[in-house]
Amino acid sequence: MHESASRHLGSLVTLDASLEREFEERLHESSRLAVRVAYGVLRHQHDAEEVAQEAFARAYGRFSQLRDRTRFRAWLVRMTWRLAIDRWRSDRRRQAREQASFVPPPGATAEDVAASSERAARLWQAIDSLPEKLRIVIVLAAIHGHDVREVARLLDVPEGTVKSRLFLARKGLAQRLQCLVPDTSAR
Amino acid sequence: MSCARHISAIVDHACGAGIAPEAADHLATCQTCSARFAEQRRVLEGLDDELQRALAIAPSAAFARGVHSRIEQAPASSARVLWWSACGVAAAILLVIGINVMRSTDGVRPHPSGSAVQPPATAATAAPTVPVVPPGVDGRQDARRTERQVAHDVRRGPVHEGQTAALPAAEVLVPPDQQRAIAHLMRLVRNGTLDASRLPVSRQGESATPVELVVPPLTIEPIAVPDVEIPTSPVATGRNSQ
Repeated sequence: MHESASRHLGSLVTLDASLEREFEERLHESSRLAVRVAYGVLRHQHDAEEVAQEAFARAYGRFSQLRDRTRFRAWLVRMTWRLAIDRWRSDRRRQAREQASFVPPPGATAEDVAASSERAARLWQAIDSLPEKLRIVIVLAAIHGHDVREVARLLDVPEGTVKSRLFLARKGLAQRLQCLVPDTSAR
Repeated sequence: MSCARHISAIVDHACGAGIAPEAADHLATCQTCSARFAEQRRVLEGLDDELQRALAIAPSAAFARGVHSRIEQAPASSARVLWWSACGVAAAILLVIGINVMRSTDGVRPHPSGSAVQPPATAATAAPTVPVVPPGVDGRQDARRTERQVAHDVRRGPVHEGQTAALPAAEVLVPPDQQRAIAHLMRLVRNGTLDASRLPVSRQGESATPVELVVPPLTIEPIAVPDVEIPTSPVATGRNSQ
């Protein structure tokens, strides 16, 4: 990075050496998170990587303006999510990607693969139908097994808000997938 | 059976909501509901696991390279944007300077229509002898419009023959014949042929005694309408009489 940036000494967006190193560290530690966040929206690895790269490039341009560097991950997550949502909305080939996005587990039979693929498609369809605020919460909670506190920190909202959104998202998913346990006592 | 009363609270609790003490007591004592709760938790955890598996992807080896190449491409576009912004700012500055120079040297600023307009009228210069002119057309048209307007006012009543309308608070139009003379004087001053300080022109804000611009009053002549005899019957033509 430092070499590539120093080639553009005359350009407008360059960071000094210490900021370069810091940005490199952030890139190393947060790239997986950014790609997963984008994948949670786009479900296509190549597209997700492109969006995450774009988010990092934008972050680089404003990195020196970020006062609290500890909030970089939260900043990056929100930027990546926004870029991914924009891309997802403008992408007309999404349906085809959804079909191609499922990766079967190793050693699975053809029947298992078919069943898992169908289940995954239904799950993503249900997630897509959730409101955006609930959707980002459930995706972030699923990434790395983030707990409520970490999701709250990433989204810069109170923990109580995350809890209630997570509850609404889970209940919404269960209703959409029709996997709420039926009330047998009513019979 | 109290299960029906608590089922909703128990399902919500499985989804992550808190639970009321009464429902919690019931859940602790009722085997059916605790089994239902466990089943619901299992289903939701299955969904969470499935989602986690689906999102367990890692960036490719070329990811960091892609970020670097995007960063390298970014400055060019930023520089382009900055260049255009600089051009815009420079143009705006030049425009402002030009307007200020014109105001300071001429004392007469250009009317949007192209006709020369005096600075805002003072009490001394705003003698009620100059016609009111709405902005937007050239001087000659303004004059014609003014004549029409005044004639209209004359016809309507309050303004009589030989009078003109009251002056507006904002601007006074220099009639076209005087515009030419003023423009000629300005040219002479710019060329250096004439010393501007010797001209009897006062500028707004200076302590010099304002010189009133002498403009002959616009006189409206009443239109002479000949007496025409109007036939009383429309059928009084030669063809009809035959």
